[in-house]
Amino acid sequence: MNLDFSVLWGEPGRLIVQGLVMTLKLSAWSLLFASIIGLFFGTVRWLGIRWLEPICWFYVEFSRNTPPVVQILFWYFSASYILPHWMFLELRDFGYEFGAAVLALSIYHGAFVAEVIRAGLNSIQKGQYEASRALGLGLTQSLRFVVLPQATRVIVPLLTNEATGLIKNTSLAMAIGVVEMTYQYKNIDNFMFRGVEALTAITVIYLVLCLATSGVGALLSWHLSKHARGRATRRPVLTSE
Amino acid sequence: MSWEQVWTAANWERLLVGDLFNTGQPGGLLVTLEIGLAAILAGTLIGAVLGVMRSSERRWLWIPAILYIQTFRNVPLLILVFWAFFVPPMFGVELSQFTSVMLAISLFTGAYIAEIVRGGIRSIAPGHIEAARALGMGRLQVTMWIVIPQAFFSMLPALAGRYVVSIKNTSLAFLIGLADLTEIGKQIGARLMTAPIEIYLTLFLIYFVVNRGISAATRLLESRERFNALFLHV
Amino acid sequence: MKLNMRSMLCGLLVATVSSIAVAQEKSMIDEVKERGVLRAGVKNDAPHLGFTDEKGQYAGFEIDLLNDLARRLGVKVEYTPVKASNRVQLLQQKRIDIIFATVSHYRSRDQVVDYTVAYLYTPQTLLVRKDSGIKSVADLANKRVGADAAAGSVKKIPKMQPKATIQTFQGWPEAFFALERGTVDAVATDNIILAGLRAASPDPSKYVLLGSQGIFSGGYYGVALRQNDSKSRDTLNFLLQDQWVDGTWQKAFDKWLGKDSELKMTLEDFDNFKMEIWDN
Repeated sequence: MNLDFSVLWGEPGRLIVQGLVMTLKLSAWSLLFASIIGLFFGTVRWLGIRWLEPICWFYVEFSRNTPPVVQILFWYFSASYILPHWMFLELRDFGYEFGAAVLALSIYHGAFVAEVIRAGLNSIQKGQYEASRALGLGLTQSLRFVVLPQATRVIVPLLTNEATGLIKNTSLAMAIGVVEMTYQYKNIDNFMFRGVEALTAITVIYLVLCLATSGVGALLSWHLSKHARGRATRRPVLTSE
Repeated sequence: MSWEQVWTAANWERLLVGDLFNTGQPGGLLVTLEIGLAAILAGTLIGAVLGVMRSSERRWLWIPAILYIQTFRNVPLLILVFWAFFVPPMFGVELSQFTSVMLAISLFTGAYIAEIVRGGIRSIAPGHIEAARALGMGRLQVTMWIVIPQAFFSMLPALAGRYVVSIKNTSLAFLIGLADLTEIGKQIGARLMTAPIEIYLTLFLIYFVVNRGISAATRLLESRERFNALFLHV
Repeated sequence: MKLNMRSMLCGLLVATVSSIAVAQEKSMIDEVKERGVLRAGVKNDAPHLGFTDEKGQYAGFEIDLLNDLARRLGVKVEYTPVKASNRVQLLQQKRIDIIFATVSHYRSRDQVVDYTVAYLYTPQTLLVRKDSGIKSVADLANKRVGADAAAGSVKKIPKMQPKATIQTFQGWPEAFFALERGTVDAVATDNIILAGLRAASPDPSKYVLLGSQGIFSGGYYGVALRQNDSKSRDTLNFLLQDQWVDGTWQKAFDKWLGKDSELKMTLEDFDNFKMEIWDN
């Protein structure tokens, strides 16, 4: 049993770095779309729009109770049937497996982000929102300037949790052939027999990625709470008392 | 769309029990539940021990606990599965696909349950613990007989959440070739070729039903009164 | 006290490792006969060659040959479905003893595994949609070609038609599915795999398996096993040749690929393949 970690500077190392780039690309795109989807559904549900409620409930329950990897497979095989033809062609040119994985991960994590946003919004007194509307601010304006800034205190830590979960779930994209880090491990073990070395390196990289994300999140929420603490000494614009 | 092609008796049999009645190889939902239940049990045990360790003041207990928890929470589960399945053979030990997945999920879940247990322990009023200590109970006894029974109920919702995630995580088994529910679904899909939507929606349905069932069952236990009525015949 | 424990553990580790090293010198075929089970890596998604039917039973040309091999050895078969992306890993880890799964013999592969004599030669060609108008590899300019990620065609096609784009997949059914949905315009691999996929699809008439103009290469299928195991390789070679000589091979061929199957292929489709036979 000969372990030779020096190969990590050679071909296997190069492959791992290529995989890392793909992992980061997957994470970035999925996080972006998941945030957009989550923001939309979370706010909509918090606003309490009656006829949208069952749709939101079903969306969240669906993602909570079905495995992400099965969702990735579903979109990979069904996208050409479900999506309108022009969208399918766009996906194909974008990189079909990559696109399908991003689609699946965005939809899956979008549900959880929606719940996070909803929890954050719920943590603020509803009176703030009502007062801002009463004072003439439109829907999006009151959300942007009154509600969401306060909600971020609750949202940011929960969101960093989701972000690390998403980064870990990008490893599932190997099931449909996306050449990210975990896929590279299989590659290296099958064709170069340096599996253990590669797996160790890849594990460490994931650890660093996730811990760094948590760290950034913690830093962000500390920074934001500093702001809030500072603002508390000034009279808030709208109060519900 | 051809539901009749997918929802045949033979396909349903394979989805639920795999080839148990054909070649003797269990598979499908049966294997998924086997892995899931085993991992839930083992994970809860590991999590309970780790959670107590994490809550201790002794450095030789909480430092290893934190290291374990942070390591296993920040690495993708698939990587853990690969560690369990592909690395031991290099040292002469061969774990079956079933064992590898079960081991990986147990260790992974244990890290999360540890945090839940820690939260549960912290939620116990310190007065209870002080009173018990004053009455002469040792630290371990206090933990076992005072803290955990009370914390159990506050932890149930979070635990149920983790259990559901564990069942979902069993779907990774197909990536090392185990014939679980997802793998059988994929096989049927590959054979039929033009009905992927139907087959994957069917998979979703099965997972959905199983997981909602688990959540409902735990909700039954959550209410103290219902728990007593069910199990203690008070 | 501590020093004693540590040295005991060290000793145990050394003993385990060296016993493993010694154990590896035993020939695979002897281990199999002792165990009574031959662990074979097979395809479970190649119609007519190695696939699982509705009841989950393995069937196909290769499976029949494999079962017969095991019968002659006096052992049972344990099937493990393998893909190109994990079959060598599993072989090296001794989770399987042989790979009997449409493995074409290439020099690069021979450096990591050993092969038996070839049990089939297959020309490699293209499978296209009827309306695509592709008649040869040259027509693949600016088109997408699908292939399994570990297939030989991934390297061969760009050499012959640099303007073609290669799209890799996790398996041949996925590549075929992509052809059906329009994600790729052609699938390039052994004609027998393509013929099987086409026949198993709901509407075979939609596809054309290109004949002699489409053929761009060929490969020999052999059974793969771990390296440096002459005894096992000889045993398997002799058994495969026995199968050819006494007609077992021909029976399996007729049943799955030839006149008794729906494919109706003849040995001519396989370049008049004839297994090399050695006398005593």
